Amino acid sequence: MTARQPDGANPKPVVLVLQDEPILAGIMRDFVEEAGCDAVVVRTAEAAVRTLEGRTDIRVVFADLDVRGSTTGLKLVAMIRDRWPPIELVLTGALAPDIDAIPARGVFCDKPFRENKVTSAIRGFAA
Amino acid sequence: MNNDLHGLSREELEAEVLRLRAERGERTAHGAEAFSRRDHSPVSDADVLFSAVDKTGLPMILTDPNQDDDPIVFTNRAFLDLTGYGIDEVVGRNCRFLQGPATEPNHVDEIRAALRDNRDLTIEITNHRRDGTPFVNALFIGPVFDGEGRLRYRFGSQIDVTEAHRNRRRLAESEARQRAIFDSASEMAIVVTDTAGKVTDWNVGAERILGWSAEEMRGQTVERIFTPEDRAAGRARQEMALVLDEGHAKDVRWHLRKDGGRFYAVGDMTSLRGLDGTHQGFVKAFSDRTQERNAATKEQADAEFMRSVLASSADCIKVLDLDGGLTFMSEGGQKVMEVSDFNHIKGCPWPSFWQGQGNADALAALATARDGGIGHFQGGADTFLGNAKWWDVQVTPIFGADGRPERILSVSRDITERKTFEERLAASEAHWRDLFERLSEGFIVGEVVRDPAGRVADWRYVDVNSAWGRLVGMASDSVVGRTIREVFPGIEDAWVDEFADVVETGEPVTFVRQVGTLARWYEGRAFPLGSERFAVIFLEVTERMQADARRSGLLEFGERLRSAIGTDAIAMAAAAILGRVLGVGRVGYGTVGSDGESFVVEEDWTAAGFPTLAGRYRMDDYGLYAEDLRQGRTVVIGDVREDPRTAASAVTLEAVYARTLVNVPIVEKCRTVAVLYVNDDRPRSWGEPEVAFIRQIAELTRQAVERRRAEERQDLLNHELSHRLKNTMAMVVSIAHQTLRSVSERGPVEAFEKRIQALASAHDLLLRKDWTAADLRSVCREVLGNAAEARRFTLDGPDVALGPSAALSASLLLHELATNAAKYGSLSGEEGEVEVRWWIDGDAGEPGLVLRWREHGGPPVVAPTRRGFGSRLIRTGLVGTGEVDVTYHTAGLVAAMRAPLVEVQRL
Repeated sequence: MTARQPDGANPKPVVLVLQDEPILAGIMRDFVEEAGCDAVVVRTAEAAVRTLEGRTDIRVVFADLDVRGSTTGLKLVAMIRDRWPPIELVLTGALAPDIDAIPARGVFCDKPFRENKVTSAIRGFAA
Repeated sequence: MNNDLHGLSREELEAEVLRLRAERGERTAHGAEAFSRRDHSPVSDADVLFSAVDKTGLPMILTDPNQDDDPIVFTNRAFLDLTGYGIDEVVGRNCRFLQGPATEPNHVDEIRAALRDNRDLTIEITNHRRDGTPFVNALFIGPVFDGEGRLRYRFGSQIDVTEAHRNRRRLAESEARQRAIFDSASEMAIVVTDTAGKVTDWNVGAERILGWSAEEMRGQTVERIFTPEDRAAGRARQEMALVLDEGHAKDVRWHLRKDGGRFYAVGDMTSLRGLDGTHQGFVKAFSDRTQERNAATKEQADAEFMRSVLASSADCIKVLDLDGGLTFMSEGGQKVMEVSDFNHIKGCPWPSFWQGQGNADALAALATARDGGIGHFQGGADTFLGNAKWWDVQVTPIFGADGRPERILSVSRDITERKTFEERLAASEAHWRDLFERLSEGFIVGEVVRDPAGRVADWRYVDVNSAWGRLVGMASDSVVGRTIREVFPGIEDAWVDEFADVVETGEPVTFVRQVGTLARWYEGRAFPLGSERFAVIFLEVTERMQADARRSGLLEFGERLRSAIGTDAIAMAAAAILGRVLGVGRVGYGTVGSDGESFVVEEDWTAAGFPTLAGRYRMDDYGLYAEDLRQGRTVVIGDVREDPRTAASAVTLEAVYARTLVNVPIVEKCRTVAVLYVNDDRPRSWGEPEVAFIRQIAELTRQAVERRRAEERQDLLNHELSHRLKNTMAMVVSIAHQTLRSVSERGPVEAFEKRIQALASAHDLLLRKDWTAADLRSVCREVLGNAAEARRFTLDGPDVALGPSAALSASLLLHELATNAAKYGSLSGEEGEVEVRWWIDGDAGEPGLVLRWREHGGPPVVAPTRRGFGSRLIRTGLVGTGEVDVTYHTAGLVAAMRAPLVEVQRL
């Protein structure tokens, strides 16, 4: 399924995946690994924030804006951008938001995913 | 020299002074010799003079003209008594202090002249006493010379002749008066004789009546004027004797005139008394009544003539004796009184003919006539056949020859018909007034009131009917005489201006207007009555106006609900409309919590000055009627002070301007979920139509809110489904991708993935339009955008909305065409374009959507030998019914397709 890099070599960039739908979470993880990164999957916005607070090696956040929670979608990513400016954002969701609503440098990938678009975006940010 | 001077009279005293003067003159003439011969005592003449002046009982003064201002140097007691002054106030002063306001200036001038000329003067002049009272002073002044002829003193003596003056004046006046009467009485002959009957005085009147002049008659006996018969009978003597006996005698007889003719004299004779009361003669005074006497005779002769005149008059003409007994009734009178034989009623007392009040009136009229006046009354008297009639009666005296009433004339006019007419008129008036009162419409008669500039500023109630009172809610009799502005302070100007116009233009008007202070509406018609007056007939239409307001309120609410507004806006729209239509201060909508206790008001509608009730409450804070609301019963409280449910908490309610309230509970599934409340700060009696209206609005609001909520739920559901659908599609694509990863032939795999993408995009479009429609242009742009840059395709066509099915199939169809164009057609190279055109046509009677895909600028194409899935997709057409033509021109592929518009747009 997924090819893992041998341990000991340069650590791969870590991508935080926010997705509460299990199958989609798996698909998104595949994209991350296809892009040559490691994936950390969280199911809620709160967990995402906790994770970001707990570690400093997250390079990219790949988030589904439709994940429910107290802080949802665009509000969450705006907050992440605000607190951790260097973290890049790759976003997806059922409905594409207004261009103006997406934080700068953020990339929106529609569903169903175009694998190339997603992996190249992640790869690009992780590099 | 006689020293006893005080007993002298004035003349004697004056004589004494002259003598003294003469003596002086003698002495002068004789010089010293005379002086010594006289052998006077050392007492000087001056002393004598002074002594004389001093002792006399006559007021006297001596002044010294040789001193400054001729002062009084000597005066006597009598002068002081007369004038009231003290000696110190007099001596040394000029006697002008006796002059005052009543003093005659010309007399003063005379005195001054006499003093200047040193003459004697006697004059009567008005002087004033010390206390100011005036008196007439008979003054004598004279100079006193010394032996050398020099002026030594002035002498003055005064006598108070006020009384004499007064009497003299009175007498003169009386005499003048008498003479005037005597002279001017030309109508009356006045003859004055001495005690023997000889004429001593004869006035103008006597001359006129008798003919002889005063000169001719003076000294003659008065018998000359008596007729020979009377003379023979000794009448004159009889009369005189009667006068002496009784003081006066009537003189009524024929007398003789100078020319021998006779005249009838009426008068009397009295005794002439002197001032001392003694009989000094006789006075005869009489006037000539010959004419009257003749007339009286003539009158009697005319009686027959008069009788015939009277007979023709329809008035009942009667002659009564002084006691009211009937002596004569005219023929006409007998007819109206239905008397068959006058003898039956002759002598009857006339007042007895009259009934009731008439009897008293007749007696009073009779008495008035007896006294010489005219009596008048109206009364009822039956005819002799018993028919009741009504009469207007005039009662006048008939004078005898002596000028006193001797009989009574009574003229009665039959006014029965007029009286009946008056009664009918009164009855008619009563009838109309009754109608006026019975009208159910209000009726006003008004009169305009103008300001000093002449503009109508107000109008006065002249008359109103009972209906007016009912319609306005005031006692009718309380307004007559008052103006409308007095009765309704602050009334709308239109109520004055419009009626003013009616009066000024003379044109009637119809109106519908409110009296704001009463909160009542009236519709009526006003019309002019002439001369500053107008009449108004009107009805109250408050109910109708309120019903109209409610109806338009409902319509407006319906309109507002049609536009898709949120639940909050629905509630506010309802509140605003209720507030306006009902004219209240606050309307709000609060939701009841599931515990049945909490009550939340998000916002409410308020009129200016009313506080909002937004906030959280507990139902039981509202008091005893919370339970009614929980049970789903409408609560109507006209006055919170009066209603037992709120009386205790009235103060708190009124603090938030809730004096009256209506609360309508909204019930869903047997539970009160919300309350619509209506408040105002004035007590109000809520009619059934109004409460029904509030309930209606509350129900419509509930329905609208429900509908909105359902729509919102629907939207939410739709969105939820869309998300799931898209997630599912994403999953499908990924699963396929993973599953087919090991397949070496990538083409089909990619084709599959792309087709799913196209499907997903189409779903996107539909989702944005709430799954109702997708615009064809957007579908084209979306699909083609994925295939090539925008510059390489042209889209041209009207706006056409596609239903969901057509949107999906069109998307896939266009996707296939685009994929082929990108692989083999005009989109495969660097250049080449696609032109997509569509339009509506009306072929075969029903409109259809035609779409044409034309490729050009690309490499030449040929029809494929095998029909892949893509071709099959294309051939299904816009709605799956086919109607597609694909032609492989050398310039490029052209695909044309058609579908009925109805099918294309089906939801």
